[in-house]
Formats: sequence, structure tokens, C-alpha cells
Amino acid sequence: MLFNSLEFFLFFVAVTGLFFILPHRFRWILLLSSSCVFYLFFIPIYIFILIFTIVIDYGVGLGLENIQDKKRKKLFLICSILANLGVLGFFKYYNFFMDNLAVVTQFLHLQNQISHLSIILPIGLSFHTFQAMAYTIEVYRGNQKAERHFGIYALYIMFYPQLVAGPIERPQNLIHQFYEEKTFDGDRVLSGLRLMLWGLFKKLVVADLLSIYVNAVYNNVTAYQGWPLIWATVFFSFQVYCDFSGYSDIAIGSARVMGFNLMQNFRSPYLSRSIKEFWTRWHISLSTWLRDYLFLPLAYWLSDKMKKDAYLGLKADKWIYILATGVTFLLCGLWHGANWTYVVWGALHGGYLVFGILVTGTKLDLFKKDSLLHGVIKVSLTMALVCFAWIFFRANNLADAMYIVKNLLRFGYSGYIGVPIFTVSGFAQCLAVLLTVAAVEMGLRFNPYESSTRPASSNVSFIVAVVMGIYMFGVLEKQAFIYFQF
Amino acid sequence: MRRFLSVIGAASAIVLALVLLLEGAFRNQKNRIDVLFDRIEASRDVVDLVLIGNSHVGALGDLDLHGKYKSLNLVVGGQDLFHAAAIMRYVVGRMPRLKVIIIGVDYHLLGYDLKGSNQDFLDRQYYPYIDSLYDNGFSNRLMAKSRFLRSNRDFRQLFAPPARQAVGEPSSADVVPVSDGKLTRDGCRKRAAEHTKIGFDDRLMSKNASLLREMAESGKRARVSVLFVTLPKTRCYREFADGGNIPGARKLLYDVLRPEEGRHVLYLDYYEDQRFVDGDFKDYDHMNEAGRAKFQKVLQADLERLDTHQRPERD
Repeated sequence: MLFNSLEFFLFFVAVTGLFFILPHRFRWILLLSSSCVFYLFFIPIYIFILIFTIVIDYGVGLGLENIQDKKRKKLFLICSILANLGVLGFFKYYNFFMDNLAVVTQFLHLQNQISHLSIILPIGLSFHTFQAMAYTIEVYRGNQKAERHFGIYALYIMFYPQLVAGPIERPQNLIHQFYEEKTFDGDRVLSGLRLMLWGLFKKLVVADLLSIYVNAVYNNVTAYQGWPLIWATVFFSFQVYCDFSGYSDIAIGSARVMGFNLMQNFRSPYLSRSIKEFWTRWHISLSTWLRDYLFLPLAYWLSDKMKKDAYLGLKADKWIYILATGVTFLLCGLWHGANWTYVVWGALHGGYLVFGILVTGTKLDLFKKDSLLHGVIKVSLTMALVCFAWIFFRANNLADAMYIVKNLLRFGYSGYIGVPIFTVSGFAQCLAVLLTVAAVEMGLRFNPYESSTRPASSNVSFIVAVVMGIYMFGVLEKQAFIYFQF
Repeated sequence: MRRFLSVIGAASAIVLALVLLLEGAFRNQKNRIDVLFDRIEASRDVVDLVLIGNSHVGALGDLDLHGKYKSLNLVVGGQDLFHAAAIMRYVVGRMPRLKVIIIGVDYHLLGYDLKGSNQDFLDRQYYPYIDSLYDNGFSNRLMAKSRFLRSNRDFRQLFAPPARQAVGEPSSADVVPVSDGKLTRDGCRKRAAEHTKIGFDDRLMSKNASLLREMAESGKRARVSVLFVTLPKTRCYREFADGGNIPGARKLLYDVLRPEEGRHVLYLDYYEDQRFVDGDFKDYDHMNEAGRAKFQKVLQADLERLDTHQRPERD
């Protein structure tokens, strides 16, 4: 069930209505059963995968709390992580692994009897796997008590607003909220609805419109060079932002309507002044997950192992940062998809960060000043680097990505594109909707993210403007969200 | 709760009023599919030959076949077989004098639909006349009933004066870019790629093959002669056409249509016909006046052949 469908609208109205009608003690049953219904709209059989990981992690959580022996605790945690990553690895990476194994065996002239499995990736697998792992790790660390109520734990994994594409929640933030009695607060409900509408606007009016241009070019890159490639890449950077942050807004908004607070996932990432800052504003629930459960443990482990002050003329702490960043971003790329394009995308971001740390404080650090002009240059440069990396993220394969990189600045005959958006008015429409989003998100006059009370006239004008924007300019063909594939 | 209800109530009322206003404003707005079906209705009692297809067939205009047939050109730029079949169903039911239907079937149409070219909105424009959509889901049918949502809603469409829209605007599929007014090999390569590679989806082939079969069968049932025609293309277009998709599509086209040939069905393939030279084209794939005149002569001869052996019995 897509957020941008009439089915979801009816589902949301029915579930929310029932939620406030039912007594508190029955609400978890409503939310859990409606989350199951929500998931069953995709590929019903895959709900057994969810049930499998839920049962395992629930049991592991209880075990971790009852066991005092550190070694046995660690063993329990490893079992849980292996079970989660095993499922993820099998469904997401089996064919990718086999493809690469085939290339290696062919290269070594070995006998090749490798078979593919025709499996479809369970929707949102990467998201709920990471959420489940966050739970067992936090219980292991003692930051979270093991959840004894099986239904509540299942709801923590399956809560429908964030089940298929995040935000990847932490148990400390979400589980206790299921125990709190929620009352109907008109202002809070309005603020949730505002956020949902804004997310829907970003998805239907911006992302899906830009996708027409982007898909036309990226699905046939060799037909183009120069400007179409540049515009398609710039448009993709906004498409992916509006698509994913639009999803997050709908998720956060629909949870807020019922009184649940989910973590913010984006904070104007394209206004970042550095790649480091970008990762504090982009997909925050994933970047903080990677920081807390991968980067920092790895960095601590490396600092234990590296006894000298410096290696090859570089301080040990810089080595630790470089190695931990490299591993984290390679895995971050791989998390997004079983394709080398994602690995390169992750490697590029890792490379940017490493370069940043190496030049900081040296003569190569050109933008130390903090003037407005330097700020603009920094934002532009960061945006350019991010856009360049998006080429690899969006390209269908590495060959296409390399073609784009080689032909990005070759300005000649741009070719025929054959979609309505390539008319002057279509192009103007793309730019107009981008400016609208930028104005709303930067201008803050109608800041959809704030949850505070506002005058009724402000609420009405915002709702009318967004609904009419969707009605008049939205692409209403129910296109799936990009991050569903992850 | 009261405040909440007042905000939602006021917003809903304003949205409803604006939607009704837009629907009212677009009430008499005719899109090009409305114009097409108006033409069918206006001439339904006099026409005995119709042409159905995309802009390639459109380049033929209203055929003048020695005054033998009163013809009507019903082509729509960028049209796919799903809607060609729908128009055929419609005219067969509405035109009592109809004897011959000529349907343009470019090879690339086997792997093409309006979704592939991001013109799904055209699907909704057909809906009031053919009562069918790619996606017959409730929300899509609801949108297809809206006057406003049946337009494509880009800036040009929204702010164009009604008279301009009434004659229908050319879709991108009608517009052939020619750099500096000249035909270039690069332009030809891209045009061919756009049809045979970029806009070609081989997952659509079996569905489109079924539509061709359905069209042939419905012609037979209605005792209307159905002439499937693959129009000629320039040499460079053929040279640059996708080497995998086009032979595959041609094979499927032959496999589907050759067995259907008989009393009321004929398939003529002029794709590589040497009688047509590059001078017969105004661009890479559309015929010019000279090409059109030549094509009419060729088609006339083939129709004579059809008439000799396969005279329709409908009248």
C-alpha cells in the first residue's frame, strides 16, 4: 500500500479514527493488526520473514537481560545479528554475490556452476532489519530494557508509518510511546496532517515530475551528452530528496497525528557547507545508526589496536578516522543496494570525508573564513560533490555511470528526448516546483515541520495551497517511492 | 476538537469550491481526444474508410483514393495499440457505412504504450468514449471523469486559451527536432533510438500482440476490411533502429498478422520498400507531400488487389 494512493488515505482515516475511539489497552492490537494489513498489501508471504526476525530478536532481548555472563551475552547478540544479517544477506545480496563469484571463477578459469534465485526483495527489509538490530544492541549495552510484551515488541518493528522506509527508530525513542495513553489533540493532529500533506506534495508534485526527465535520460544515457546529463543529475538530486524526505514526512506526520513522535530524517541537506555536515542532515536515522553501531565501535576497536602515535607520517587518530569512515561508507553504499554503483557512491562519500579531514588545517583548506560569500561557495561546492556522487547512485550500472562522467561536459547536439516535460513549459514547471519547495523549506513562513500551534487561518491556507498544488500539478500515477527498493 | 473541525471544515469547503471552479472552467474545454471523437460523430454516416494510428499515419492526411472511399484520418500523435484498438471498437460500432480500416503498425509499437512515453494522461482523455483504462482502479476512473484531470495540467495546457486547445496541441511525439532545419545523421540516430530503444519495452510485446489479434478478429466479425500497414522509414532511420528490438518486433508482427490474413484482413509491410526514397520524407520518419502522393498510388494498387479478392460484404 503506497502512501500516495487512495487506499492508504482510506486506511489511514479508518485506523486513526478507530485509534482514538478505542480504549488505550486495545490500541496496540489495532496498530499491530493494521500494520500487518499494511504490509500484506505488498507481498503477503514475506510477512513470515518479519515474524521470524521478530521472534528471534524478542527471545534474544529477554535472554540478554537474564544472562550475566559477558561471553554468553555476546554470543546471544552475535546470534541475533547473524540471524538479521543472514536474512538481509540472503534476500538482498545472494544474487549479487553469485554474480561476482561467477566473474571471479570465470577469471580464474574455474568450473562455474552458479545459479541465481528468482527472489524479490522484501519491501523495507534493510530498514526493519536495522531497527531490529538497534534493539538487541541497545539491550546488550544496557541502554534499553528488554521488552516483555511480545505485541509491543512486534509493533516496534512493524509500526506501519515507518515499517517500509524508516525513519529507522531506536527502541529508547519508540517503545515507551506505545505504553503512553494518547489523547486527541487538535493542534497536534493538524500539525501531523500538515506534514503529511507537505510530504505528499514533495512526492507527487516534485519528485514524480522530475522523475520523468530523470528516467528518460538515465535509462538511455548513451543517447545524450552535455546539458541533458547535467540537468538530469541535478533533477535527480532533488527527486531523491523530495521522494525520500516526502516519504519520511508522511511517516512522521501520520505517526504524529496519533501522538507518536518519530525522529526527524532530513534537515535541509542541500544547504550543508561540507560533506560532513551533509551527513548530519541527510537520512539522519541511518547516518546516526551507522555512527552509533558501526563507525564508533570500529573506531574504538582500532584505537585499541593501534598503539603507535603515527603511521607513515600520519597521526594514529587520523588513520582511525580514515579506516572507520572508509568501512562505514562502503557498507552504507552496499546497504542501499546490491550493485557496485551503490558501493562507488558510498566510497565517493567516504573519500570526500577523508579528503576533508586530511586537508583541514592545511594550506589546501581554502574556505576557512565564514563570510556570506564563502558560505555560498561552500554550499555550492558541497552540492556539486553530492550531485556528482548521485550519478553513481542513480545510474543503472557502472558503465552508464562512467559514460555520464565522461560526457557530462561535452556540449554538442543534445538529442531528442520525447517526453512532454522536455518542452520549455515542462522545464519551467520543473524549476517552478523546485523553487516552491525551496521557498517553503527555507522561507519557514509555512514551515511544515514545526509542531507548534498556529492560527486557524494559517492552517487553512496551508492545507488549501498544498492540496490544490497536488490537484493541479501532481503526477497522480501512483509511482513507488525510491527507497522502497532498499 | 472544535478548532480542529473548523480548520478541516473550512479547508475542505475551500478545496471543494476550487475544484468545482476548475471543473467548471474546464467544462467546455476540449482536448484533442474530444476533438477526435467529435469528428467521428460528425461524419459517422458518410465515412467508409478510416485511418487509425500515430503521427506517421497522420502524415498521410485524408486519403484520396480516386474518390472511391470517403476517408477520415483519426490518428493521434504518439498513439499506442491499446488506444488504436479502442478507437477501432468505437468506429466499428458507430459507423454504419464503414468498409475499410487502415491501421498503422510501426514495428516499435509492439513494445510501446503511453506510459512508456509518460503520456498517461492521454489514457484518461479517452476514457469517456471507450470506458476502459490501463488501470481500471477506482481512483484512476475517478480522475478520468474529471474534466480538469483529463488535461495534462502542464503550464501550457492550464493557461492556453480554449480555442487553442480546441484544435488540440501536438504532443511531443509529433514534434521532430531538426537541428538548424537540416536532417543530420546524429538526429536520425537519436530519433531511431527514441522509438526503437528508449521508448521500447519488450515486456509489452505479448499484450500488444493480443491487441493486434483482437483488432483483426473484430474486423472479421464486423465484416470490415482491416488493413494493417507498416509505413516506410528513411534509410538512416532503418540503419539506426535497434538491432535487437526491431527484428524481434517484426517477427512477432508477422507471426500474429500473417495467420490472420484472409477475406477481411491484410498486412502490408512497406518498412523497407525501395520505392520510397529519403526525398519522400519531411524528417527522419514522417512522409512529405511527395511521399504521401506516392504512398497513395501504392496503396491504391494494393487496395485494388484487396478489393478484387477480398471484397467486404458489409454493405
